[in-house]
Amino acid sequence: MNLSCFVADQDYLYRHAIRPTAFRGKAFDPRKLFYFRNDQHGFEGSAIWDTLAPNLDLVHAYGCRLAAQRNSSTVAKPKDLQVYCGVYQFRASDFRDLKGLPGLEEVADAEVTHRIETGEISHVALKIIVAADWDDLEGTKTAVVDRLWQACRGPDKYICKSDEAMDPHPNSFLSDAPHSTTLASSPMILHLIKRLRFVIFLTLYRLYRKLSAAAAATSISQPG
Amino acid sequence: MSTYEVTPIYIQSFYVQGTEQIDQRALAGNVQTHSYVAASGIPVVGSFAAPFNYLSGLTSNVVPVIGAGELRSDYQELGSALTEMTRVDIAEEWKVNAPVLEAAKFVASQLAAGGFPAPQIFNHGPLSIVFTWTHQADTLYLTVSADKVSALLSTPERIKRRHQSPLSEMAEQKFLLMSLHSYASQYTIPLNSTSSVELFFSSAESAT
Amino acid sequence: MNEPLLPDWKPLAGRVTLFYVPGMAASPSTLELYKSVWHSDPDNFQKSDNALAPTVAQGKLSACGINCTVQPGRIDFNITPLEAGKNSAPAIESLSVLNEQLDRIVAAVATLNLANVNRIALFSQMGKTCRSYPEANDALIKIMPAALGTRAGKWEDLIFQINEPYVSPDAGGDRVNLNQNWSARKLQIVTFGMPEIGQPINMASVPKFVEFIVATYSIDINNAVSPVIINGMNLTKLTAQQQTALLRDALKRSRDKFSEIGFAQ
Repeated sequence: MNLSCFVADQDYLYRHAIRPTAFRGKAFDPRKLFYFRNDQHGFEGSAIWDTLAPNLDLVHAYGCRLAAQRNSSTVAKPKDLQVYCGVYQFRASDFRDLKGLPGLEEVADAEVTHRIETGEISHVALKIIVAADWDDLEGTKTAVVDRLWQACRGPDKYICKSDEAMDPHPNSFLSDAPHSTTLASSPMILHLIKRLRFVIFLTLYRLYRKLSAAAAATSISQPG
Repeated sequence: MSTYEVTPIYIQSFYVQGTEQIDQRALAGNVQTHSYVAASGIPVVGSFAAPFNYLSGLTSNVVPVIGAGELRSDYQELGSALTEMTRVDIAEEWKVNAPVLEAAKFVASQLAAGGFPAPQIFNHGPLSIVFTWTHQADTLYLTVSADKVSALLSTPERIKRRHQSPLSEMAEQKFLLMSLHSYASQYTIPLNSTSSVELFFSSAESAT
Repeated sequence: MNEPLLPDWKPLAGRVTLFYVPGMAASPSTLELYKSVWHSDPDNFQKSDNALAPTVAQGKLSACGINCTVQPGRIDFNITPLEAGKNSAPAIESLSVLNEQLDRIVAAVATLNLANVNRIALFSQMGKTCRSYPEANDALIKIMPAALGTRAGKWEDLIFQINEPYVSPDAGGDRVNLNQNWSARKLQIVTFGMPEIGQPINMASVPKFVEFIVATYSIDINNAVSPVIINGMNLTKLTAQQQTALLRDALKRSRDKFSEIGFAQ
């Protein structure tokens, strides 16, 4: 299910700060927050969409799940355990406006695409498409990260239940975002609309999954 | 680290006379002895002072010496961070490829030699390491890939200048250096590095 | 102009430096480089955890110390004194010892086939221990070119340097710097002992300081790198033959200068 068409410019997106415990020295830059993978036409990153995570509890819960998933998929030493530290916030328009920005002329498109991944319904892909003849993707990533970082608010720090015993917790090393240290919130009416949409979509999504599972079970029991 | 006036026309020699260790049984009294020779009255006890300007290998007419153990503390931390990024067992997001690390080490050593303050670093994955400096609200980035360096100067409001992967054009190399210079001119460079910074850029500019 | 023989002057240091640019998957191996030159294991090998710190392989011959140091962008082969005399600064036994080792290093460079080397340097230093700065200044004046017409004075920390660059066909027609430096300097030698782990600190571990005033003459010959940029990095590289040819020519020129001055072999 794809709700990309509903990602409005004024919607908030969240980026989770997850740190290996060892990486807390002064040498590491807070802009490590963003991570982009190369693809065929440019590169892509991830974020969380507030419409499908309409309160901070849901946003932080995603972060805890993400860190837990990463730790379960590798055999990590204690100092390399991934620890969820908190979120930073920016708007969908901050990303979309990268297209055509002076200094980023190679960016042909910057789109926020809703894409459910590993069962996470609030996941969106941040996709940058660059000009076909552009040969400095890494430099473009840096410029994109710079603009997004400048637009960020936060951090809103958090400690997952599984990390409550950590002392010091790596979230104490999170840097303040340049735009503001306080997350913005939607006006009440908009917030209520987002909550309603969230409930509707969650219901539809669960129904969709049940129907998909049933269809799959039916095709297995009736081969051919 | 002590600072002192460095005569700019020559960098004095400095060599490690020798260390005798490892096999303690070979030494009388189970004592390891270390002797270090430093020139021109620089006191050396245990760790070294950073006694001289290491002009970039690209521009200097005089080749200075190096001595083990004189890495500035801020670059020590940077070096440790770079080492961390090559560990095989760290998260994928933090790993970098070996050629990228070699390029980053080279650029870092040139920056250290030029007396620049140590940058912070982050990476975009295995293909590059980004060096960053922030002075008040302005930021300078150097994106180091295996075979190129890209520079970016920005303010909170906009991207000021970018230096993309050049193709054998000196002008762009000059721009890279001027980007660093315009940043450096806003930043207090330690006394013992000022002349090297000026020489670094004036040599580069005169070469173009 | 100069005394035909200057037996009080001793070699203090020698060094061959190779500057390289990235392009290799890994840094050159300090251990392999050391073995390539001296065909033996080092007595001491230090590899730092820090990516920017140098790695050092160190050893001793009967007449001098030797080491190879590698850090990002630079390889150094050093020849050093073994120990200080009671009343004189540490020195290498003789100029012939220094020359022999420099020849050995240069011969090894030919076989190393190091790629991405864009600059070479040769450094040799002679010194004379003096009792005072005026004595050091006097010793320096005697070996400076007479045309400079300098008179010795009581000043301290005299430093005089000139560069006589030349064009070398071995460097593709680029210029090579030939720096000569005359200096009166104070050398400070610190000796301290470190007791074994678990052993108490004793008198041997108290640092001892000895100072010498030394008149030094140094030659630093290095090629200037051509300012050609490819993909953002200066990638003008010297072939192995160019590296060796430049170094051999530098060796010859430095020895000619030493002979001209009158240093004893």
